[in-house]
Amino acid sequence: MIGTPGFVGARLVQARKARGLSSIALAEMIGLKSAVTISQYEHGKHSPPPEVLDAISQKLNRPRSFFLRPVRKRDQDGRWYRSFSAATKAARERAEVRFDWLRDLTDYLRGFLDFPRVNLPNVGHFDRVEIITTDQIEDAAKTAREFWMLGDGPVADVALLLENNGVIVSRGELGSENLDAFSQWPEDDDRPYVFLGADKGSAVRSRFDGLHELGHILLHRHVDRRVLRKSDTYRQMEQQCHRFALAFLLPPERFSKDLWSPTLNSFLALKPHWKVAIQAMVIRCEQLGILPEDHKLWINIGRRGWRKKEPYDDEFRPEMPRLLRRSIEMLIENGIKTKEQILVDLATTSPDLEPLACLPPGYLEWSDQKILRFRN
Amino acid sequence: MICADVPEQFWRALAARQDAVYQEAKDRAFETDSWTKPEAETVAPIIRRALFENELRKAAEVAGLRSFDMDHVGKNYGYVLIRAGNLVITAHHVGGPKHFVRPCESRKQNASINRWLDTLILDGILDLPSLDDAETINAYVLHGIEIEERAEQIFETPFLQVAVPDAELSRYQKNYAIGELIGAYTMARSGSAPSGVPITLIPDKAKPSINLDKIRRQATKESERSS
Repeated sequence: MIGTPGFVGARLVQARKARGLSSIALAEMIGLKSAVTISQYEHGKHSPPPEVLDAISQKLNRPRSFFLRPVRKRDQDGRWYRSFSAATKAARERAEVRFDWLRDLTDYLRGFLDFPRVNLPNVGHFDRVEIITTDQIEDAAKTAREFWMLGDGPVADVALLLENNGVIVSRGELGSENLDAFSQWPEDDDRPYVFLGADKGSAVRSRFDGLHELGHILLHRHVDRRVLRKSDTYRQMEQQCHRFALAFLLPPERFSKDLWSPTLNSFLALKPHWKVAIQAMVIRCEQLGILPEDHKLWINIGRRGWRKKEPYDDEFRPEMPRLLRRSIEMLIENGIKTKEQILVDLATTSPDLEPLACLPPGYLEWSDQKILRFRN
Repeated sequence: MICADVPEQFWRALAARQDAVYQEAKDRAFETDSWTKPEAETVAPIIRRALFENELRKAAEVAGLRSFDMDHVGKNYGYVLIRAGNLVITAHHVGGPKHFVRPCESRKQNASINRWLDTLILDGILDLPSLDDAETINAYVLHGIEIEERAEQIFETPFLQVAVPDAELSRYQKNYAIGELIGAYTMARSGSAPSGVPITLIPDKAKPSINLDKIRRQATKESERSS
């Protein structure tokens, strides 16, 4: 049997993981007798015959050219995942592939365009997690607000704040409610990346996640990445970023002055303004020591059925990143690239690229493609 | 009119105390050896009513409003009535956010002053302070617990609303959740947001810019590849 010259096994791994499929499931889908064959393709021991590659391409919804494109060697270490431990292996793998594709996209766009310069505050140089104190985290949040001249009121748009200051932000479904967000400042890149999960659909949650990831970027950039494998240290980092996000969202003086009474009715009335979850406000009050130790707010939150879903959660529209969307629109509107060229250059499909760049569904479908789809 | 005549503080004080009042009523009724559960269930709503009426009076005092201790027709119960400009405010416990108050003679008499409203299209009573012909309005503070069953669990959510009944006590002309009402105060103060703390707007600078040098380099690369 003749294989396909130039086939890249690592691309098959990516495409399979992006769809959340096991080797066995993929083998069944394309009519192969054994998953071993898939493994051999992936490890470069064999390459698939053209008709098998066509089947793979069709089932995984990636163009044929994708599987012939070399994978760029990238810094794979040091990704900060929120709620990583609770997510399934498949969900994590899917997220990692999504992140690789996000970097492919930004590399491509940066071949034509300049992005806003990275403009992040220096909150201190921490090379170990254990040395970071609560006061330093509170100071870091305050420093960041001062650096960006945000005052001490609610911040209107967290995603925009990050993008304005050079962070690449994408938002999309990760296929797991247990994986809220992740971020990385790769050593081989000059800017940080934040990926916000949209699976929970909550706008206030997403704002919190964005600032949690900012916490990693500012506080943990210099920490030895090997500690990410230690669960205790990782948990500590997560706690530090929770604290950072809350300190940033709810500055102590202004928030405590605005809260006329630490009751659920008051938190409820403040939620639309501060755009912070009621439960997060309760935690912040606990951190600031403005609740009696025996308060019953958690019991009452449970009684009201607000643990999983709070009032207003369906009413606020999530903040949508805009830089990547605008970049693609700019290439097309200025005649630098056509929609078709972009998809061909990136060896991708519109259903994969549109969510990654936060484009409206169908935006990248050109007329011929639309006709073909209609006929299907 | 509500925003113009009633200091925001009055509503905030009530909202702040509701949970505590309900809890206290429950504790006083049930955490005692003086009686058993059936008696506790009888007295709990009475204690809750007394405590809430007292809060109403205290909130009025804090907000600088006048309160009056009134008797129902028949003098079987007393109740507190608050005067705030053209508003007459009374408090009522109801079984749910959409429930209507139980009609009685005193309530009918109080509500009858709303007859002039029936002729108006109430498109936003919050925005009517400057009407020269504005007369007195009877407004209700409605409070209670909403009981919901979700996923085979019972959830109890206290609610607090401000409603204006029609003169016939047949429907509410307007009904606002307390959060909505408090938000209206600061909306009325132009330039500030519901809680009074200004929101920090973020200027939109998330814009890429075209780099002609990069584009030329890309074009050169592509032409080299194709040749």
